[in-house]
Amino acid sequence: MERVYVASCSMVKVGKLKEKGIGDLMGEASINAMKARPEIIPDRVIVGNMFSGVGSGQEHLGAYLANLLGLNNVPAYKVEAACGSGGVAVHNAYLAIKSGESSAVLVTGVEKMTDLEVNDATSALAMADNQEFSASVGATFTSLNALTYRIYLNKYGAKREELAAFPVLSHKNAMDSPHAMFKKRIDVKDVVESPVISDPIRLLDSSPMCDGAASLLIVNEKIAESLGGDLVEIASSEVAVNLFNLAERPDPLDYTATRAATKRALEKSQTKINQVDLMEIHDAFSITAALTLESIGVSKRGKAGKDAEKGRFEREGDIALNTFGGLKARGHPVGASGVYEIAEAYLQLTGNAGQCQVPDARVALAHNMGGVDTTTSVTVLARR
Amino acid sequence: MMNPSSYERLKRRYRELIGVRCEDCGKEYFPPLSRCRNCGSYRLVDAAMPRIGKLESYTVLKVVSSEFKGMEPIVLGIVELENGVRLISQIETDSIDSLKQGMELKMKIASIKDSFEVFRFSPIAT
Repeated sequence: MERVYVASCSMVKVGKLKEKGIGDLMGEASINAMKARPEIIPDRVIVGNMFSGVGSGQEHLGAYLANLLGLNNVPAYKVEAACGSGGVAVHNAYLAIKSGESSAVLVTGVEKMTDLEVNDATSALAMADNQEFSASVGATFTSLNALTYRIYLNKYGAKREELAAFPVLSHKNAMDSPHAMFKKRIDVKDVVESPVISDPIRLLDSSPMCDGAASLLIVNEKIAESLGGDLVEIASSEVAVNLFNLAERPDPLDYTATRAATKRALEKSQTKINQVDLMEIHDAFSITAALTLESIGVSKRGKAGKDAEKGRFEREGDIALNTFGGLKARGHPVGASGVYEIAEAYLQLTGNAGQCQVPDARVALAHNMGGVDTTTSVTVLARR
Repeated sequence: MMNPSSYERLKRRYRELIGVRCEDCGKEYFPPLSRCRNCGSYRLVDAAMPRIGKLESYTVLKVVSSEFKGMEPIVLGIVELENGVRLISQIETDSIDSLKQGMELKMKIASIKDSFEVFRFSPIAT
């Protein structure tokens, strides 16, 4: 089996990018990742995206992007797993290199959300859930997470102020992040007093509607050796699914897909969780950050918010979390977020994270979910 | 998304709460699935679910999807039926403040928009 390396990355600054369409976004990210390694011509193109059909009236993104890049006759296709599309696209690239079928793969995650008005974007995001039996009776994606949040508050007697520490941390980290959407510090009071979206989830518990694209060039060992320079190994990449219908899960607070994918990813990379220097996790909402950390085992059940309050997840803390602002403050262009996370891990492990740098970062874990832990990818990356 | 064609296909399930029961182990499911999660059997037949349940969690939506625009706030819940099946449903109540985890609910039929009728749960008056 081949070993797998990230050779370059590129990220579009996330925001409401009125002047950029879906082709502009994925073209810009892809070209910058390719220009960083002009010696490489990708032999496969994979696009991670959730809802370009609804958001832009455009499908067939693989062929579209290959055409923009002047690449003809290569395999090129879109991978979709709701908000987890980006992580699963990287997983697909990992498999292609590992098996020896490809030697250099371009992966681009892209989402154009802001051409839709808010209710239409809410409908589009609800496609992550069961249309016939959940969205059709009024469930939105935020409401499903809110149902878990209420169970959490009741079960552990936790306070919303504790979990508000996650968006506060993400906004703080984004202040130094060149590609983050938000450059504004917030405090706990701002979060708990912000407008209700789906009670108990408030506006500042939630990641924003936004546009963005990120790209990675992923190569085999032979090419990595010939290139030299900044390289990061993808030591493992795992995907798992939880029960599709949230209500059917024996314990809706147990992210079993996160747990299974993390366990396999750590085992296959022979990594212990306490060796991980930084984690880029799926903080689409304050509650998803808490349940991710508790399902991985980094925090005890019901205590993740308290751990965040104590500073465990600061850049200089125990385990640095969402070092460029996470989904909450870097922004969550849904199908692209999993690629942003791995690009950010690449910058950290190559020492190119600038003001966001975690000192002496050697091992990173990226965690990306589609739905409420419905499809989860976990990637372990290591400094070469 | 619900349109006349999809509603026609699913209306029995929505109106009569028809899920499936495994003919081998007796486990019941809503919504339907193709292979029993409990015993692996493929022998699943349509079965009506109980219409009494209890509230496991709820949320009040202020921002809704486009199909429900103008109907906000919507109360949505996880309901555990008497057979242990848990599903997502709208909750009908005059008093959101009186909703409590574990409270008893009964099913009714409600029109969600135009002529689409689906299940909904409301507290059993005590």
